[in-house]
Amino acid sequence: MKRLIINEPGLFLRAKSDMIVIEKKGEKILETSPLNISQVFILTRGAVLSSALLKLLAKYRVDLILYSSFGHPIAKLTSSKGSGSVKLRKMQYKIQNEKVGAYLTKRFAWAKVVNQKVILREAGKNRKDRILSEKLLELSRLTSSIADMIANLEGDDIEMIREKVVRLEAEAAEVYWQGFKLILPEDVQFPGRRKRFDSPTDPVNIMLNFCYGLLASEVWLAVESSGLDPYAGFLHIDSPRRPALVMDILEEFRQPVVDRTVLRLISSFKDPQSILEGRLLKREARFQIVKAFSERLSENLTFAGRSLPLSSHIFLQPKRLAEFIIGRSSNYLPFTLR
Amino acid sequence: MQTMQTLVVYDISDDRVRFMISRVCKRFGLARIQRSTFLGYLTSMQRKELTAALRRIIGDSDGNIQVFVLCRADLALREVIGKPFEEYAKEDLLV
Repeated sequence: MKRLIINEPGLFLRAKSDMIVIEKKGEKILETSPLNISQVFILTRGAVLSSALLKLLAKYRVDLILYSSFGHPIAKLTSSKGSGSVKLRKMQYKIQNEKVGAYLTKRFAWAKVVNQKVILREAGKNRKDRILSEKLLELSRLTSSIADMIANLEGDDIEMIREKVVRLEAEAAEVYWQGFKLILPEDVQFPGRRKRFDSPTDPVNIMLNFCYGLLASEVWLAVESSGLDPYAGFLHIDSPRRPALVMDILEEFRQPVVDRTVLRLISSFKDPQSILEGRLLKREARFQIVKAFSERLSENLTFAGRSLPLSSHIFLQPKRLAEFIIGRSSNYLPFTLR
Repeated sequence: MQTMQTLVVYDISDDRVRFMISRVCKRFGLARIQRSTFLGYLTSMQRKELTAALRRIIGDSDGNIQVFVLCRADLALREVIGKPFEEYAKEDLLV
């Protein structure tokens, strides 16, 4: 579904006879029906929203998401009419500490590592430079063996499994980011992976963090519409601040959605450093990134026998998880690239 | 929810009524593909609401409105000649 993205300061968003109207200095620049959009992203400061608009969005179940300047979702406005799926949620909490929970923990981490492997392998196959190509293929084999180790972990104690999985996942990540650095164009600075809390200063990490934020809200909406509790996770530990289940499902999509987009974009920039303004992205760059991101989401991919846009796969994954949790399907197939 | 392409065509002489019809079509997220023709995806429920609203607007005044439901195959056979009017936007709206 389409998004409405607000990236310019000083815009006034209001509702008029059940339509969303956007004005700039008193002049109407856009008018659209809430039926045409599924989300409103506010990426900028200084946008003005009327309460009638908020009501309109809630009425049509259009989610409004406010992002920090680093691209992280800070606030979300949703309709108060939730989906009351008590039975599903009870099952979700119950299996958190059961063997099935340990199985899911392994599945999420496995998918992530497999996707990392695929990125490395593809990059390795496409390199003309034989030494670089060999190196990347070698790293991909290494991640592949870690993926197997995760899948083959045995035991019923979920805490112990989680600990082991996290350790293996970190090992794979180390290999992966090493390879990622090799895939980047030569003139691009990449000091290694830095998360949002490490306050990175290089364009690649800043872009990655920004896009992971966008992806998080995408997954979040999908989880919410499936009726699962976004805060009760398997691989990630429950926390009142962090939606653990969202982070779990996010792992399946990091490489296919974000890393691909960033790799593609960074090689199209002449001077990647110029997209930054201190530790923040410039407005025009933000524009380009969001565009590339949603273009990627609308690309068709075949998974589980269905060729659908990537955004639909994201939407379906929590539903598949719910089917598994409630016992309607016997296994859970996490999203992986081929 | 399954949505179907819905085509709304009308012929109304009263300016005020005609304007109200176009406004309702826009409110339902339809795109104007010709002066008095709108096209867009609607669920069957939305279509019922739309026809009810249109019926209310046209009341006793002259003219008629026709609402067609098109399947994807039928729409694919469509040919556009000349400059296209405002098409249904598939991309995100960036401002």
